[in-house]
Amino acid sequence: MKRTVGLALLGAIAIAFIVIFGHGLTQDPRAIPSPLVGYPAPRFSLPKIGGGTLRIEDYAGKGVVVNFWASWCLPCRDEARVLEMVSRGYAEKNVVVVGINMQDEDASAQKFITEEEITFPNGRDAEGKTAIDFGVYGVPETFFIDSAGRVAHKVVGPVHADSIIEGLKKIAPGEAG
Amino acid sequence: MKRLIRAAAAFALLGAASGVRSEESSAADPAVEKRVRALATELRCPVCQNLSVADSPSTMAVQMRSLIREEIEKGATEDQVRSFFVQKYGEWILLAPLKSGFNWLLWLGGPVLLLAGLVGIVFWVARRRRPIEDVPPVSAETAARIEKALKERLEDGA
Amino acid sequence: MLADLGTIGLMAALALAAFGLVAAAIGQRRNRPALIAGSHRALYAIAGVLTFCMVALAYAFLARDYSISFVARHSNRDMPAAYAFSALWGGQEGSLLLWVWLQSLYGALAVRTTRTALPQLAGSFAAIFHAILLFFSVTLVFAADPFSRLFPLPTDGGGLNPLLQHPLMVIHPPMLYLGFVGTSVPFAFALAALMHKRVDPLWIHLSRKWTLFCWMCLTTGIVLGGHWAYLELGWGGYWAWDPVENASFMPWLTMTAYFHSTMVQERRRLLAGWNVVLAILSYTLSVFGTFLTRSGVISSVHSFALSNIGPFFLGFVALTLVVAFGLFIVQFSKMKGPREEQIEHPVSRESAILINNLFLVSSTFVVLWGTIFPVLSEAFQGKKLSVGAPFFNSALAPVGLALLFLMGTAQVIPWRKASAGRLVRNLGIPVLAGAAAVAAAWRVTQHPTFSAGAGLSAFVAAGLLWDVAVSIRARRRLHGEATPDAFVGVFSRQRRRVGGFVSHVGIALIGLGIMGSLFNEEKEMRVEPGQTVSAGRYSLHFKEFVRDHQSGYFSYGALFDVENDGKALGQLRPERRLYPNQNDPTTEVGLLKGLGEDLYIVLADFDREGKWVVLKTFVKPLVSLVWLGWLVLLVGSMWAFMGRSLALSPRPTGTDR
Repeated sequence: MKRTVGLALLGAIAIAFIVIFGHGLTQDPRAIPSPLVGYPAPRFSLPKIGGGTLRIEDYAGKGVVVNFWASWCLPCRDEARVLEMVSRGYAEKNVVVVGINMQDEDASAQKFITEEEITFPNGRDAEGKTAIDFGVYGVPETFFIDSAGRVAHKVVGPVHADSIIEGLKKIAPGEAG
Repeated sequence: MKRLIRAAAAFALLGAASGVRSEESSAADPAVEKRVRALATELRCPVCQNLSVADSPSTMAVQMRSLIREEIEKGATEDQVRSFFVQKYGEWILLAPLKSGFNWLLWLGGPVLLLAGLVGIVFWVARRRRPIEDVPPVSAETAARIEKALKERLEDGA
Repeated sequence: MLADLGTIGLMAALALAAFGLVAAAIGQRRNRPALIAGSHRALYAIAGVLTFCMVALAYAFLARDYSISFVARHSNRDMPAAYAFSALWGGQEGSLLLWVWLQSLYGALAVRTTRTALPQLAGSFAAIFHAILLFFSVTLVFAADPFSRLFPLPTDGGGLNPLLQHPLMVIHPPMLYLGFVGTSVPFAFALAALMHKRVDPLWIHLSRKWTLFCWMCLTTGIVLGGHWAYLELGWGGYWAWDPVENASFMPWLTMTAYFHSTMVQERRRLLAGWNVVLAILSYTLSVFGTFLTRSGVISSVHSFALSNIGPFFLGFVALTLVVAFGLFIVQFSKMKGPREEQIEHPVSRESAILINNLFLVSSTFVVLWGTIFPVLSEAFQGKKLSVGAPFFNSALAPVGLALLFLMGTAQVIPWRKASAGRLVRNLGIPVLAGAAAVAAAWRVTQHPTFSAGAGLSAFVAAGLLWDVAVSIRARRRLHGEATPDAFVGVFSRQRRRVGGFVSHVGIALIGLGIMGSLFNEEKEMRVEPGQTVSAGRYSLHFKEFVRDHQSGYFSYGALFDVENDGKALGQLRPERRLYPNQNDPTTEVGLLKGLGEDLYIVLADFDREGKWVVLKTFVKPLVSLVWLGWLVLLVGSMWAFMGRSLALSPRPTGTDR
């Protein structure tokens, strides 16, 4: 009797062990969901690269794609073209793209913009405060903010055509794709 | 050559903090520094593997430390700073999970096991306890044997 | 060619393990000695074949044979030979090969040396090793073949992470693996004893030296890993409660509990079942720990490149748990052996060891629980959590102090029964010494935790000295020896006892060293060339900014003259380096080691023109005691290792009631 209970308990522990860790194996321990999704986006006001000020309030009522980048980050270079295309293609669909440069130097950031022929506005977050406000882990990260000013979606790592459209769908329903 | 270019690009990461206000702390208030450090040890550096904001040399951690310092100088309490980071990064950023709900299992698991073990030992000892009184008095012959055995024991070790 | 031979070797090991398992099982069941002998020979053959595979892979590394994918990924042409060799265990497949190779050596040697002493168990014993080897060779062949080919051939390899290019990294992993894999020996003994319902402590005697050896290796592996982290990672510490560190700490704790509680079984015929449980736990935790860090289920500093070995290990750990504990549940109540003796008095060595065991096992549980809790949290509350140093420190610091106390007490309480007079005699001097140390530490530091710890450390050390003094007196009285002879006699004749005491002093020293971190002084400041800054008692003069782009990496460093009270102590040059093909710059710390304290400086940031640097300085008291304590611990446990096992020496039956 005692033995049966013991064996049953052992079996249960073994199954729980396999289920829990089996589930754990399918998860990426580095993928951390942002608690900001579904909540109003943090406000920011940053010096614009090339002069002026970049404020999120200026885009009230529009969908905003906020991309955090740095000139030393190679994947940021890869995604720059995608972002530029979106910025041009979605202008009349009430979606704007803004870049936020972080952990970088003025000159290198400026050079990056010229080299990659970026036309959308970019702010410079020298002290990293805006990045921390957005809960950024590393570059690149892209946030999709809807017309009501809420964070609707977040992409960690470089955006590709597919992943950016997934985000755009959430901030410009019916328009994307 | 391409490798070197990559290397140079990545190295920019280091000089990056030059744009950051340096963490000059020679003039800083040691009491504030102590609080900043204590808070920073509780927070996980987002760009590192299992290092705290206090220990990490990364730019991100440097910026986080200066943010904590600023908040503390503005009069923020420890709880306010902590909840600010939790709001931005989720509970993940805390290196010691909050004592609430499911997390109690984490905090109480060890103490419960220790207590249960102590109770178990008490019962085990009680069950196996044999009163020492029923040992008959030792004869002279036995005493000599014990003396001899003792000598051998000393040789044995342990 | 070489690669093909390697893969064939692994397949041969797989086939031999399968054959050995079947032969041993049938031989044992049907009582066919020839089959059992065959399974033993298969075990030796596996050891031979895997030795060949290791040599082949090592040769491939030294020859930079980039037709082998693993070699291409983990070495390059610029690497010195020693690091090219150690790159063998710098990645998933190679380190797994090292593991299974050591496993085959342990298995072959353990079977070889015990086949005559334990003939009834010889088949089962070999079968367990074959089963383990079968699992690992299947994993190697199907999921992590270190000899898999690469085409087309690259002109140069990917290189080894520069952090791993350190002399300590040449010896740390093999040491650690010797420890991890060694836990399989007491495990196999315990399981074989269970299968044959033998409760007698013969298997404990036979596995004693194996256990101690693997424990010493594990200890050394852990300490060397900590030392490496201290020198190379540049965050100022040696232990971060990273999952990979926890994975090595858990079996260390249960092994420590194990060889203490086996003494109770040797002496008092008690705790037979508990010892079996500890042996099973130690091995299971070793494998589970390596599953955690290799499978990517938890993020860790050392996480290996993602691979598909996770499910293999998960299945193996589950199977080990079910088979081992299942056997325990079914067989244990049926086990035959000498009747368990009884506890004569609650205050005795045996109960003190039992409580020490409880604390060790509870600590193991806390470490395990904290390490896997993020996985549990994600599964049950869908929330990502971190469990790090603040949790482990607060949960384990009190347990650590309690363990120091128990260690000092248990070593001087006699077996069976401690009379009040005996307790006062044995504990009096150590308690006084401890109290004096508390008072002294309090005067200097006014820190309660540290004072308690210092007192406990002194208590442990005084226990050693007092015990040696008492033993010398006893020898003089019993043998009529002169004091120097008696002194030598105590050390040479009572190796296990003295060795144990010395090890305890080592642990107390390590504890004191860890508690020194309570007084760490840390500063971060911006310095310009020519400036002088202070850190603790030291003054640091920033002499010049040094750039070096010649050595195969980019290096930026700052040269500091270090002085203390106007006395020059030399120069320190903390650096940041960037190696080709690596994303993160590495840190070279500037370190001035001292017995009392270390000065540890790191370049946190710098201007590439050299106009300023941000310097992080640490003054770390008593760190040296951690490394010193390890040496003492090693000497003590080696001394105990050389002592005789009780059962193998004749025991006077008269005292064996």
